[in-house]
Amino acid sequence: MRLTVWGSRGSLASAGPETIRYGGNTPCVQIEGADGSVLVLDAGTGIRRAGLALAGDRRPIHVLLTHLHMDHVQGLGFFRPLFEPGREVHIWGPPSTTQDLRARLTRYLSPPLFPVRIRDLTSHPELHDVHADPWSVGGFNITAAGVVHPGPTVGYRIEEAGATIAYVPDHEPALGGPLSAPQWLSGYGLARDVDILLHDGQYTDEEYRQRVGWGHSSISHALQVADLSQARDLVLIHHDPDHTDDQIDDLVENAGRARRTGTVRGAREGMVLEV
Amino acid sequence: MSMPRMPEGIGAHIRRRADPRASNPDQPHAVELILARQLASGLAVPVLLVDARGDTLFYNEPAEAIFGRAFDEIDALPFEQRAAMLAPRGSDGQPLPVEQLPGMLAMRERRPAHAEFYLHGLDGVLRAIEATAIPVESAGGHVLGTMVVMWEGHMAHPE
Repeated sequence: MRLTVWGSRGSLASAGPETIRYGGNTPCVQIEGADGSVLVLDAGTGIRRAGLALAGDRRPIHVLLTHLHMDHVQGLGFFRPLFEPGREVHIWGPPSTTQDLRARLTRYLSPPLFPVRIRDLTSHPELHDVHADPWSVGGFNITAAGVVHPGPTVGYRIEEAGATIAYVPDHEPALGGPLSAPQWLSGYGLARDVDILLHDGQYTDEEYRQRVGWGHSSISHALQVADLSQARDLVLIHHDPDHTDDQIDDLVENAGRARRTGTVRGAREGMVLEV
Repeated sequence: MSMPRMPEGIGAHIRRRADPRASNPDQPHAVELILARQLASGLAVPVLLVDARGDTLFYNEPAEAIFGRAFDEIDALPFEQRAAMLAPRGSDGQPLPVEQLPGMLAMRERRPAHAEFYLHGLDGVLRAIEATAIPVESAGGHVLGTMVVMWEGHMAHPE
């Protein structure tokens, strides 16, 4: 499968000369399968460019939302395929016991926050709660599982022909206790033995100490999750909006030295990963 | 890993709505149970965490006084011995069916449940217990287990 990173920034879009290499758009990763199936992970502001790349193409699109915080849904109203009549678009999101996905997304996709309502999207997307059991889309086998983050939040594990990736961009595993026993490690079932783990790497250790409970990982935590899960390639994503390109370079380089086995990279806009 | 487990059969009607991942012992625990365990480990009141199949997942340090054994030590005891030692009894001193324990009621009826009963600790001491259980359910509506808060009760000793 082929992954394209369209947005790697966390929390808030942060355009500027100091973020130009890693990018300022919030999370969005496109995955294309060997059979042409298309998944789009999260609908941060990066999804706008993903939509331009996919516009006019007749393939069905499955958008997998990890959760409904603004930095993960803000680009949805700018996703061009949603405005293509007859285009098959599915939007998946975490379940809630109180409201269905349509009602929760409508909080944003309606006035006064947004001028266009979901019912006005000419593709008439189908909305689904993620399944508790794995499900298939084209050649992909998809698993969703809850992870530690404020509000209903899932991560995804996606497999195709023996290649496996996990996407856990918003995750605070340290709130679940010591990061030592895999069975009690949030996200372990998703990340176990994957080829590529795209994981929250928002904070330095010092920043994390000041932001416990905000829902994110320190880079040390991301390393521990990757090592315990035996993920081969750790790709840090959801970069803090205040981290400059040079700072991220340093953080990624130091993380690479600290990794017990496997590699570490920083997700950047335009990055293409083949598995 | 071997842990105390409620007798077979009592969760049969619960399993229809239980988290399907709970049927695979190799699967990591659901995030709701991970957070419940972490909460329990930080509380000063005795708390027991049980999964949807009736297996004990965890009890905290204050609960060790009720069960008469540290949680980390219980794996050494076979299930049959543990079940025989715990042997819950009702307020009349008669054996109490496990399906009437608040943890099992909470999962079966998906509501909080409270009861007073007697329990033999793993140290052999019979104790009066009060327990309140709340079901732990996922956002998808699956019963994942139950969290049982316990106190030493004030019932007279039945023997």
